[in-house]
Amino acid sequence: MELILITLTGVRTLINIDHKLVHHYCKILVHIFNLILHTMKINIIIALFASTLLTNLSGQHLKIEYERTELENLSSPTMSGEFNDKVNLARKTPQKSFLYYANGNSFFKNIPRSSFSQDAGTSQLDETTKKIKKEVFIDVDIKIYHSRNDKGSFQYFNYPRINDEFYGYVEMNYKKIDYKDDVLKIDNYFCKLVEVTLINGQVTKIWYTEDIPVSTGPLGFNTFPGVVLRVESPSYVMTAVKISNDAREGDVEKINSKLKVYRGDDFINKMKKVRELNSKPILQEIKL
Amino acid sequence: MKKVLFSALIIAGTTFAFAKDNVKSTNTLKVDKRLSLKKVTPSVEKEVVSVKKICGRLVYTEEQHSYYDMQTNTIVTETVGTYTHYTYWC
Repeated sequence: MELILITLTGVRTLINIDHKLVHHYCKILVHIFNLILHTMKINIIIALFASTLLTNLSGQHLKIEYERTELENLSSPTMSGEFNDKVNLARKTPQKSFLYYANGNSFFKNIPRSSFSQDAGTSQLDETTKKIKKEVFIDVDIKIYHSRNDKGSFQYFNYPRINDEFYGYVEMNYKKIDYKDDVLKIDNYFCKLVEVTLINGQVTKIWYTEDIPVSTGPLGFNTFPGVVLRVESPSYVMTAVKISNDAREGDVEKINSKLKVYRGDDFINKMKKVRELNSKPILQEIKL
Repeated sequence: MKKVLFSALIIAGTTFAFAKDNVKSTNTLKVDKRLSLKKVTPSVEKEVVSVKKICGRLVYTEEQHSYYDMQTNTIVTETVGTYTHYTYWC
């Protein structure tokens, strides 16, 4: 009987010990499990945050409308004073430009102001031939393409007079980049200032916002840590007047692969050649 | 009587066919046409139609062509000329 009792007590003791151990181990296990779960939770939250951030950054769709105001007048010595005045009056109308951004790619274009022409006098060359002079204004047409895989941008050039169109690939080179502490608010976006000195010595003020953390901007200014909303140059001021997420993939035009792209020195030489050809007067005969 | 008539028909037919085969064919026919020309002397009083001349109109178009230079952030404006020579009857 005693033996039975001793045995039973031993078993109880043993069971008690096991129970305590198991309880202890269970506590440790639960703690470890909680730790793992907690770490996983943090990891999941981090992963979700990162993916949202990445989606917002690379998947950001932007449409920004800019207005450009000219600060300098143009004056051509060969054109009449009346024509020069008309040109400067037309250039006082702010010129609209649009920047479309989607998935790291961007396309910038301006809307040229209306063209116009005027007669600038008639003279009798000989008995049967009259000479009529016409002055024509055609506003600048700008199209700039940027791909997320490229450091520089592609600019479209079209010369219908000499029947030539092509792209020039340009990587912006600055003599000096000076980040300032100045702050400007444009349409609820806080903008920071960076002053850049271009290769021709021109100092241009660039206002960019880090509130939209993507590197894009009008013209060739797309290498700053935010979206460029204002450009101040000695000859013009360009400011964003409307910012939205309305851009679609299709709005970001791609370059025409059929046209030739000139880079580096080839581009410089091409522009020289085009300017030379384009500056020569063209003679055409039309029989009525 | 019938026989006589039949014989006569046969002889006449054979003679006609033989004669037809021996006729030379001609493709060209000579036609003589006589024209009488009157001598016309222009009247001094009537107006003589003048010969048309070629006239010209030379239009010289001067165009302000601009392009944007990204590196220098400037709009380069050039004046380019085109001569268009229109010719017409006048």
